[in-house]
Amino acid sequence: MTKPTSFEQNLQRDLLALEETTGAPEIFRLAQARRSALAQEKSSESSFFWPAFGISAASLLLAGVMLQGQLGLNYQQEASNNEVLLEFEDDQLDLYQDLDFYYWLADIDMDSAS
Amino acid sequence: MENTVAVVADKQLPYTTVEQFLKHIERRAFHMARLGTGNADSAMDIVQDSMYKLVEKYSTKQPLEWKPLFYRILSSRLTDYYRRKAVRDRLFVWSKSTSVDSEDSFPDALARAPGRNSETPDEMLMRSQRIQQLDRSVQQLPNRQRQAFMLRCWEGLSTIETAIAMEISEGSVKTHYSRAMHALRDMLEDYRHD
Repeated sequence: MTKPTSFEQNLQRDLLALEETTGAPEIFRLAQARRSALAQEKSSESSFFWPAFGISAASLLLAGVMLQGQLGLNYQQEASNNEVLLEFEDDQLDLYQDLDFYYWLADIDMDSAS
Repeated sequence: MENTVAVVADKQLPYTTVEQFLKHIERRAFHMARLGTGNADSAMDIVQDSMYKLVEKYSTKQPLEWKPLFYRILSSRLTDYYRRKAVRDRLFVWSKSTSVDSEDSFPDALARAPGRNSETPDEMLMRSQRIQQLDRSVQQLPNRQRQAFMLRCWEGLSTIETAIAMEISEGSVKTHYSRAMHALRDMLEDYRHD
């Protein structure tokens, strides 16, 4: 950057002096403008919080419901599996009883044949 | 945006929060807008709008970037103002003389301003007259020249920072600034300094 000339320096000095001539009503209005601009930032932060909180809560609730459903489904599945096993065990018992009967019958046939 | 941080990284900043930044810049921005519009109320609206925009969109940016961004917004708002004014002037030619954008009574503020303790009444008067003359001369510059002059000479932005703020090339900034200085030299021929 080139060094400012004395003319530029004088202009700069007077422009800075011009800033100092700002009247009290203008300073007050500028402060108001600044505060309202900054307040908008804070309100946008809080307005973002509630929708975000709502979405998070709804997601958690949905996840809870789904998990609950999944657990219930597992329990039902387990119960039906147990029933199948019991039925299977009953069938096996009958089979063994039948097998005993057939062995007995075979022994009788063998005895009578001999 | 170009790498603004790299452009202004070597500067010491007198602010770290947006509030401090706005406080630091608001008076200068107001006077720049006033010189651009010739009306204190319009200038106030433009500055307020620029503050809103900066806080809304760029408050999360690094403090180094705020100044060029703020002046870019201000420049854009001034351009919008000139466009609207041009349309309004074309539509309401007959009411131009009673337009609200006629020169406002801001120079009265000069009279309200406290003088420096070291100044004699004569010096205060001379300073006041000089500032009024400068005020009028700057208002007479074409828009782009005035913007380049104010950002470079008043705000002390570099050529590249001014280019970012005005959304033009560095070459154009140099041209506008040079022409503005030329015009001011002519207009302020009788400009006397301490």
